[in-house]
Amino acid sequence: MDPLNAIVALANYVLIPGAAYGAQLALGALGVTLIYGILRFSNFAHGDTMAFGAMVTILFTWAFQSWGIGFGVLPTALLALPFGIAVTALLLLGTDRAVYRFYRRQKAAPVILVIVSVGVMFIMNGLVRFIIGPDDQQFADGARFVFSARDFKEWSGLDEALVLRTSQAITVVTAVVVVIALFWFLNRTRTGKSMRAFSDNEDLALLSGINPERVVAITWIIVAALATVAGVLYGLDKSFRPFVYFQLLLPVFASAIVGGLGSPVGAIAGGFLIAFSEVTVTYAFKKVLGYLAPGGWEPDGLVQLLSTDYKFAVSFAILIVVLLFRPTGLFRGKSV
Amino acid sequence: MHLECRVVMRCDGAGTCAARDEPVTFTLDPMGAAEGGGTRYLISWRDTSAEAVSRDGRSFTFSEGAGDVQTLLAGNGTGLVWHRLTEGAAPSATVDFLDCEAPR
Repeated sequence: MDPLNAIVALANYVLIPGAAYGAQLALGALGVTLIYGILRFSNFAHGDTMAFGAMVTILFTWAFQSWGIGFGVLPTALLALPFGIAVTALLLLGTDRAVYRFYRRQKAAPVILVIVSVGVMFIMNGLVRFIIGPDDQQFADGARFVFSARDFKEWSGLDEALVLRTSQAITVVTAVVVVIALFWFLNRTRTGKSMRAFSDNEDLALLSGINPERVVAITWIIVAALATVAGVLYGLDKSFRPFVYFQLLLPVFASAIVGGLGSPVGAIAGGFLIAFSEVTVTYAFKKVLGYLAPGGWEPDGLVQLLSTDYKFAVSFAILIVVLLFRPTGLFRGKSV
Repeated sequence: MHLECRVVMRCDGAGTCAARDEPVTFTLDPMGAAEGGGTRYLISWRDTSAEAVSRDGRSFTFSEGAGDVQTLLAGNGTGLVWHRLTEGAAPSATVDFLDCEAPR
């Protein structure tokens, strides 16, 4: 038995990738849950908002790189991130003014807003592909590893190597910072409290003098920031291809619903639950079990519950189970 | 065996190539003899793992699921070629040229 190597193998292919992916899903799900909680509809355009934010950030990153501006060992994309957030916020505010506000004033049913958001999704998807193209785009620079396989093996003397990519470390750290800032904003600031009041009871909030248009505008700005950060972190960690963000919509929605729509804590928990489920169910545990099993008991097969191409089915299956047995989600969000 | 690689060039199925700089680390662990000759390996990269088969120890064929075929092929020196084919209504292929080292 060699538990240390087993832990390292598990960390390398399950814990670290799961944590990074979970942080990306949690940020995406926070955006979905904020819109559901405050604007009261499921925004199907959120995946493409992430793609748009990432695209603008990539364009600024390329500009900075061509001007010789870098961020040392960190990716230049982090410098470009505020610009990406600003442009995405403008797009979302413009979309709200041109599209959603009309339906809000009509007091349209949430299902109508959902259909409208599908239309917005297609337009945003086309816009992103029109501007940057449908192909894979690379924008990551800076140091690639916090520690590489070689560094770890030399340091530890173990057979197994642990690799921590800079993008994975940045993803987790940025997600923690963003989540702390968001919770501080929602719980400690006057504007955040007015947003929560608006979410809890719109009529009472209006009676107490809260300006609904201001709440809506701030919500879109926060959603733009969350979507852009999530999109850029996903692009840095994996790669940027517009269609991938459309596919990401399912795990992002699954995370928000599993956690409880409208519950920010639930969105975070749901993101990590979905991410670790996807990674764990599709990982081949042969090696880990080989280290843990007594001599000669090492399994012959891969010990993989599902092939990797069923990854998205995992989030769908969890979604169905939660909707069947606990429709309000793990953290008792708004009923769906 | 660990292979610490960097994707230095990516080409699509039509032969259009673009320079890249993207890290990827592979782990190849032998699993025993394959049917019809060769060796079975557990291949892992990023958060993905699959069974690979090699007949000659220089090329490894594996799949992430139905409609997916991938090959890792030894090139000259530290070079590797990673070919990925996705079959279906609109088949697509990608060829990555990797620069690798095997620590220890």
